[in-house]
Amino acid sequence: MAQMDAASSSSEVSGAQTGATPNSVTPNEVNEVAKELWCPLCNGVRLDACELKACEQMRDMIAEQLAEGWDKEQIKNYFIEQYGPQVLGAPPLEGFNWLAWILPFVALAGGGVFLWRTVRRMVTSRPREAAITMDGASPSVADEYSRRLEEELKRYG
Amino acid sequence: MAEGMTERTVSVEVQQAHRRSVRIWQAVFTLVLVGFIALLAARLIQTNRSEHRASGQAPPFTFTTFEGETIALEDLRGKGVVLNFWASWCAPCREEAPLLEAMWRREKDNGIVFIGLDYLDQEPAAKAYLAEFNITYPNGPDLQSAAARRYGIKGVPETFFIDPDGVIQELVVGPIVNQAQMEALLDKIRPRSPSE
Repeated sequence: MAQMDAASSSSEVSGAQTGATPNSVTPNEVNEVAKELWCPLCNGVRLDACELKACEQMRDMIAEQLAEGWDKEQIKNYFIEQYGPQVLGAPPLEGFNWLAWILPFVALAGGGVFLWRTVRRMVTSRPREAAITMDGASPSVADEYSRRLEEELKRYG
Repeated sequence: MAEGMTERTVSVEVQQAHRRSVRIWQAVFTLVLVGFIALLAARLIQTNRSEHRASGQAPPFTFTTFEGETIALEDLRGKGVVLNFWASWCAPCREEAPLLEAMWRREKDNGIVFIGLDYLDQEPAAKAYLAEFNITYPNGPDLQSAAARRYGIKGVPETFFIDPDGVIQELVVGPIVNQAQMEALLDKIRPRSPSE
């Protein structure tokens, strides 16, 4: 059984080649496109770094398309059509996938607001508490303070 | 004294407002967290479901062959269907290719259709593979792995044997190289003759 990883073991397979890389296209030009695509059979392996036979064929296809004058976007669109948006390594901005794009920013904004409010509260509450204590406005401490002040005033007034 | 009382009232109000604010934030945070966990759970269930191999009624699909002919599984009701997932980069697929073609040539007039779906492959390489093995039954790319996902395949080759009522009778994971095994599998999906 050739599970997904069997693609690697098939590297010695001789047939089914897409043909030699066109002379006019350099490996660097191919990799320039390939590095923006991901191996559809692996997890988290970029096409330019993938050694599977299937990926080799994909790079051959990129070379042919470059030789025919396709630009990077056209090539990427071709692979999306063939393999689906997973080949881009990032979810497209549609449907449920929006969440994957939006949620980190929402979390970041929410966290920022929370942090800002917490810090502001910490900064403003201390002087206010002190002021409240002095004015006798803190219920427990202030009541005691007022009572003692009244007593002192009566005694010496 | 009156001033002190006013200050005290203001202070109590500030504290109440603060407590209210904290409660609101707690509720918002809890809601977001619960919502996020629910979404993750839903996605997980969905993924698990799609990862199971198809069984029972065969999921419908339509594909276009490399020659440009469009074929829908639904249109093949009344015939036995051998649905083979393969790829040109798959070494075990090459082991079974000659037998699949030989059986197709023998059975095509007996109400059995062979279909090949090319999985995560490139058309030039796929066509070279088909030419190498002189494969004549309908083959085409499984674009965006649509059928592969519906059938929940885990690799190639995988072959589904679908009876004339559209029910999956057997699934073979890996290459079929034994003719006797293939014949036994085909017997399970043969259309019944009118006399039966």
